[in-house]
Amino acid sequence: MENYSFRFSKSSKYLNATLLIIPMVLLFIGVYGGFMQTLFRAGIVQSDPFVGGDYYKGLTFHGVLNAIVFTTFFAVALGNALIPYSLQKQLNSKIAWASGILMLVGSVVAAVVIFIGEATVLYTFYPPLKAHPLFYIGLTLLVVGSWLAFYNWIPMYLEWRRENEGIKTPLAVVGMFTTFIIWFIASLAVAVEILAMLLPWSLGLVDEVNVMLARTLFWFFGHPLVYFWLLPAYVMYYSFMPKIAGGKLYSDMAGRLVFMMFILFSIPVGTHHQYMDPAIGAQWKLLHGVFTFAVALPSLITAFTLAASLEYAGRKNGGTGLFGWMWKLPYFDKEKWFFPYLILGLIIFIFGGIGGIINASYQMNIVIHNTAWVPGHFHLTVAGPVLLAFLGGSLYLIGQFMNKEIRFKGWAMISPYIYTIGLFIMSYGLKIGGLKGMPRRTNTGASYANPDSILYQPDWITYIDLSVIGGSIMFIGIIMYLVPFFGTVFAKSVSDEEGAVVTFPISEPLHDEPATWLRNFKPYVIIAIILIILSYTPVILDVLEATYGGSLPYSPNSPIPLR
Amino acid sequence: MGQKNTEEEDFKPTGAMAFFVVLLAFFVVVWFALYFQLLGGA
Repeated sequence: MENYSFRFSKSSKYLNATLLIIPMVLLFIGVYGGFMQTLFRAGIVQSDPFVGGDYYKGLTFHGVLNAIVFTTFFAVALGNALIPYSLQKQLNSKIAWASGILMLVGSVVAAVVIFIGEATVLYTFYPPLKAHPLFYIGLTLLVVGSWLAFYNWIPMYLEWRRENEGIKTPLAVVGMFTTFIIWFIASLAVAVEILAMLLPWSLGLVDEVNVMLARTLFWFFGHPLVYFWLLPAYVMYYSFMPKIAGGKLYSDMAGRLVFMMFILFSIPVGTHHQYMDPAIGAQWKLLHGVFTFAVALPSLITAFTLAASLEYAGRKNGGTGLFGWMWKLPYFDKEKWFFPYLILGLIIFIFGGIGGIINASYQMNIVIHNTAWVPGHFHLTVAGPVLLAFLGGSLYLIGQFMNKEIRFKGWAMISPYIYTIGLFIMSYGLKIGGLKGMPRRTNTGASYANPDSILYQPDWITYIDLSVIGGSIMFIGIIMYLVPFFGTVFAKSVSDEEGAVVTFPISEPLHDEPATWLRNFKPYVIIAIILIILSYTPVILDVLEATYGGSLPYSPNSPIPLR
Repeated sequence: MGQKNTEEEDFKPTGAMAFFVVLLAFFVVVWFALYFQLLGGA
């Protein structure tokens, strides 16, 4: 397969550049919030020069901007790039811009409301913590904007299928559609939570909210959200990484099977986040736990397929022996600066993956529940493979869409290593501290890490210090990344093209199996809906039967209800 | 071209298989470490 190019219209070029640059600014604000969290938790600072002494406001910034806003923008930008490229069709630019504007307006509104202290509800926005209505409206606009982007791709895909009967859909397109099918189904639940429960409650139209029902609807959305983050990274692992490494994708069928398995098992798993919640029967929690183990299978298939693809590349590069090929991959090749973002993410995911399996193991969850282990774990997933792949992807896309040569390639290549070192140190501190009982979310700097407090826990201090050291190194890694990113944005264009001529390093398959049973989304979506109905109907019924009345709204600063 | 195809057909990912076995073994060790932590706590 030869590398080919696709000429995007001027409108698509500016749209995608916007969808990459503005979220990068928001990401940095969120990253700064994360860095300040480590300092707060260690008691090094008691007040932030930008957000003041409100620790939970910074935590909300960090979670919402990094985990929800940045990831959604990147997934849409990657789809807006890869789907037209792979299908060789132009986007409907009016719909694409409408989608982008909705997302931008929604994100900015939500960010402003958080900044003025009217939405200190963390990224899970669990009631009875109440946010200003504009926070919920902002998030709704972000989600609806991303749905609009998805709807824009569907007619292109159907047209391509009519024109290319019998030809396999490009794997990257399968991956992006899988991502957004899961996102669409999952976000219906959060739409119900926001529009039918939280927004009327926040507006004062109803007094109380059913906390358990809201939590259940949130986790219907919240765990598949993890796959919405992860799957664009998988798209890049399968489509780009083998080629960048100098090889081929070991099995095209494995990639397709993995994506279809994610459609099946991504959603009926959310109750594993609620193992310790009342109101839901233990048998249904166990069922969700079993499905969570099922959703680990596609990741294990991915681990083997990508290892085989990299082994093929490493052997072509001269590697010998059982593991000698591992040393023949382009870890430090400046011209292949994208490779470290992908391979380091995969290495991190080895640790993130086992952490996830532990979290999903029903009784074992009690060891780590609500401890610092949990942020330690999800930094090894969403802030590891996801963030690194998205950072690498953002830099690649911005170069392509702005017709710019990537600047400071050495910095681009080395920054993911710096970040990864910091991430391992910080996550180790959080995870081991968590096993010793250190809580998540809590501002330990004001309590457990404060020698003047009666709550002081001297045996946690080493782990808190490790998280400060790790967090500081991660922050440096991100700054080092922003140099090539904005260096490229402000560099001179390499051509005077009105549009953007884009090329992606799409990997050729080594084994190109026909896999006719993996060519149609429909049966997998239908089975997924059946599994969702079977697994969630008893959960919702349990919640409705076990709860009555509801909760008045609260802020994190007072035990007295807000009204 | 012919030689290249043979090379591709002959490729057996023995290293990836070994890596996968080591990965599963690592997962089992870590999982049981937490399991014994659970038992210890109980």
